[in-house]
Amino acid sequence: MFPARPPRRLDFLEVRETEYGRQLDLTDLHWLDPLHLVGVATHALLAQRAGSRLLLSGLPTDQAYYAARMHLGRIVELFGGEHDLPQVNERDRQDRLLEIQPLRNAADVERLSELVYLRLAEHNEPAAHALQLAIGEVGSNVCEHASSIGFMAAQTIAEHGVLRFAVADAGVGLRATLASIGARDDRHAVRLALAGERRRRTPGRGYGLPATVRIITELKGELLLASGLAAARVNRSGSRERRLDLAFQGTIFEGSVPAHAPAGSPGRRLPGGTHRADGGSRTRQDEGPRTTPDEGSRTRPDGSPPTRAGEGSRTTPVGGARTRPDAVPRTGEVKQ
Amino acid sequence: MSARTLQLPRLVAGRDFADDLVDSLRLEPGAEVVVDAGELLSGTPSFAAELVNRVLVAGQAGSLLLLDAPADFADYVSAAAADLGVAGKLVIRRAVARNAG
Repeated sequence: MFPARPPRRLDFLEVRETEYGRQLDLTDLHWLDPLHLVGVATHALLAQRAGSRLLLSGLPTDQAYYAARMHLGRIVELFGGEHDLPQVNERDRQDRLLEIQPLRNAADVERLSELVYLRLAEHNEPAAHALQLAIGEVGSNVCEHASSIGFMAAQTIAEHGVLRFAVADAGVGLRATLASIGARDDRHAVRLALAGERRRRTPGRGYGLPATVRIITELKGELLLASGLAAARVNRSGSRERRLDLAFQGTIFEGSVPAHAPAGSPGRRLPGGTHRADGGSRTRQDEGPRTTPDEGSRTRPDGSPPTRAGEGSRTTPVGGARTRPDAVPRTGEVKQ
Repeated sequence: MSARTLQLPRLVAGRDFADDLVDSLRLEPGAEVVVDAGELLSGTPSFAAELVNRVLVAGQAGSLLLLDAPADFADYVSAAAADLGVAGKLVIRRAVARNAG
């Protein structure tokens, strides 16, 4: 099983109104997930929409470097916010599968779902296929229903064999979107979205999320879907619901799948092929190992990898040092 | 009876993309549409559903022949055609020895 993050991880995303703007202090967040990256991005957008600005601060040093490499600072600035993230080497692709990217329209969804597929396919075709489908479907939902732009990000953690990706929007939320087919509250809306309500929907619609659930769980992965005060985690065993302490304005989705292809499932050779230059995963050298205090150990003073369970040093089996095919556009450049 | 052929690229996602592709066909009612999915690596259910909807429902094509699609994409097309009540106009010829995906 490759679990998604528990819904309580969303509780870190609590903003506080101050006279200078909306403060988001992430001092206690010792492991930054794609879930948080896209969540912070939505807060930056929401703050701007409200005539305010997001003030992001407090991330522990190694997380701050990671956030900067994932372009969180750029996104915060894009929406008029401020942050205390460091400057980083833009060419360092450790940990990244896909930096935070805005989803403004269908073309963005097509481009990003294709990009992720191409980055993964040679090493892990099942995951590439799952992410192409999931990003295509969840991203399309954002563009069609949320009345807001969305954001997505993806990362791999090789030593734990997990690939995580997240999509979020600061839109109307599932309850409003699905009110026309009978969503009574946030919890009911999350259920309807995951199940693909078939009785009252328009024929030919409602396939996306159920198909996403199926393809992720078939890979022994898990997904988290949250909107408003409701969240659900879904895996092969079923769905577990939870009421959030802190409402998420809009909708947030995270999926986790195996970072490595199962034996006997080689990657797909692509025309103009990609290949890895380093031949294996690596740990970060510039910032020391990444650790997660709520699920693992803190960084050791000597910088050696942690020994407890949890996600130790971030590594990247895909999207790291490798040759890009000419057909793959450069990423990470947030158009402003 | 006019015939139209649509060559799918390697990756397809989203209803908008399906709309764009079908728009390029300039369909006429009763047309026979061939969708060549021989190059397709991965496609989403929503793309498949919109393709069927635009060709067979909105476009009133006489038939849709899906060629050489990966198994899962063919299943998405088939499910959408059934859902939209046009399964009788859909013909699927699956590729030999082609993996899903």
